[in-house]
Amino acid sequence: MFVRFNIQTTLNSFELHVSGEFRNGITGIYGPSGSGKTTLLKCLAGFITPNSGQITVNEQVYFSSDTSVVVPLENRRIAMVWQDTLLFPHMTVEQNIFYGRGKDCLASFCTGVIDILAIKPLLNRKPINLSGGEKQRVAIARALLHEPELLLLDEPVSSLDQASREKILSYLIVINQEFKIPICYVSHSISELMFLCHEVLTIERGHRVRFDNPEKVFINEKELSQMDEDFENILELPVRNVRRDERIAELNFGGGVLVATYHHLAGSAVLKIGLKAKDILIALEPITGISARNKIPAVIEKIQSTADMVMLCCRVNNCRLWVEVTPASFRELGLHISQTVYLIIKTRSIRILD
Amino acid sequence: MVFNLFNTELWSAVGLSLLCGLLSALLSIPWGIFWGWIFARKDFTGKIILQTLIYLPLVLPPVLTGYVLLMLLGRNAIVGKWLFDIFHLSFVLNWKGALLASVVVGSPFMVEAMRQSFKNIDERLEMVARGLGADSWKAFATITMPLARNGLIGGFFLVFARSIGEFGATIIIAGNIPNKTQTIPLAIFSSILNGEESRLWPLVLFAVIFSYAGLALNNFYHRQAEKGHRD
Repeated sequence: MFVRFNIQTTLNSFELHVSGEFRNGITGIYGPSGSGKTTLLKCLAGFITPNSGQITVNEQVYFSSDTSVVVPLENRRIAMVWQDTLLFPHMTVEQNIFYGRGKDCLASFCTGVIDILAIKPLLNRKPINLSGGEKQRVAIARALLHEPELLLLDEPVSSLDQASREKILSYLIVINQEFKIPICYVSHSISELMFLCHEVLTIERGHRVRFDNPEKVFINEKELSQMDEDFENILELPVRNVRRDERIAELNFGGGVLVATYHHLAGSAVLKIGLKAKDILIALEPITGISARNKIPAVIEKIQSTADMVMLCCRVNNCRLWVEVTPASFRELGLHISQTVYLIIKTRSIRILD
Repeated sequence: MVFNLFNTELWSAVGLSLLCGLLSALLSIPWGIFWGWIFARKDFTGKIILQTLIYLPLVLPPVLTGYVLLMLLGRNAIVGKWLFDIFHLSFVLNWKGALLASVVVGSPFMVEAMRQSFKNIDERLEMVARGLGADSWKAFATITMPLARNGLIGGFFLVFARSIGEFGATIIIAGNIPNKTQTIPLAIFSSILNGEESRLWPLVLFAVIFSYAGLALNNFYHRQAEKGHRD
């Protein structure tokens, strides 16, 4: 599978000029709001016809301004999943997912998609009776049953709670491996993109900035200093308890408690927090007699390294945290995948973003 | 007060009003869908001028609307003569004139109901359908129209209710001929002029029942449409 594009388009004085290639695997698109991420997806899917350029999927030309080729969106094998799912509200889940396929869907493929996304119990329900995570799974199933050559996902988990988010991300990895469909995944979350993607395209003001593997794009001194306010870990956690005298909030996290300090609390039941990967320490044994309030057991799930730093994806039950260590610490501690470690986090390292 | 329910003129007026109400509501559907979709989804030069023209019968004195129809469709008018010569079709002083008056005066209500319905449907749903392989007609038939259904039914009953009350345009083009072109409002008018109270009150009762039912059903479906869009 190979998707190649080089497109230029102008919409209400906003100019998008981006080129890139998507191979098998998951390609991330990262950039600030209004940078043109969704516009790029709409151009690829055929919702917007670019002013000039070319889009080819497996050597089939979908758009070419040179040869005046514009394949209408209904004839493109590109499916898009939107942030707000856009399920057809008057249809059941079953009618939604088979909308593009009718009865000619290969039984084993349909069953496979339905099983992997665990939507069999939802088939007779209407979208209004589904949770956010269920809606998103149905939207992904509907897109997959179209048997696309490219699956575009526009911030599919941004409106979901942490648990549903984790679930959908793991489904996407299985889908990519099982069905060999290239996925293009738009997100604001560095941790999501680092966890999920093989390559990341960064866009700013409609122009391509970088296109490389996530380690090179995100684990880079210069970019990290530019992204001072960007957190590798952004979580939405339910509030368990608030101790106003000490300005401390206890949050439910991975079956345990995460303690954070706060300056101002709006009183919401769920708090959005940011935590930088470099602010988390790793210990091999449970530690006592230390001032840090958070000592959380975790399992190393993924390791990504560059010459000057190593990023560890650590799972705490149904949650994940990215932790940054130096290559020297990584070697000395002998860290490896599936190893149980203890994450040490100071309460003041946790920033409440709401 | 004596009710005379055994009066053929009364039942003829009721029957013709119901016929005009139902047929005009049905005939205004394609017109309403077409213009409602154009006004909800398209932007073009002169849109306001065209929209005002389509909605004009809402505010023009119905008598004037009837007069314009008469000028266009009278036996000696160009269009009327052509219709009569080719199709042997005439709208003057017959029930078809009453029906035409109801369609012209009522159809802007259907246009507005459909415009609002289409406007409230997320256009991206059609794009999603097309992205899943549906052509624009299939997307319209399977996504847009089912979602606009409540608006359409509401519009149907609004046009019906408007037709039940139609007087000015009807009397000009169809005349007020008992058992032929006399609808409920025209029969009420004649009954008042002639002091026929025994015929007047049943007519008033029917007019109120039909108008109230039409409007109530319109409100019900309008609410259903709003609820659907909120969901």
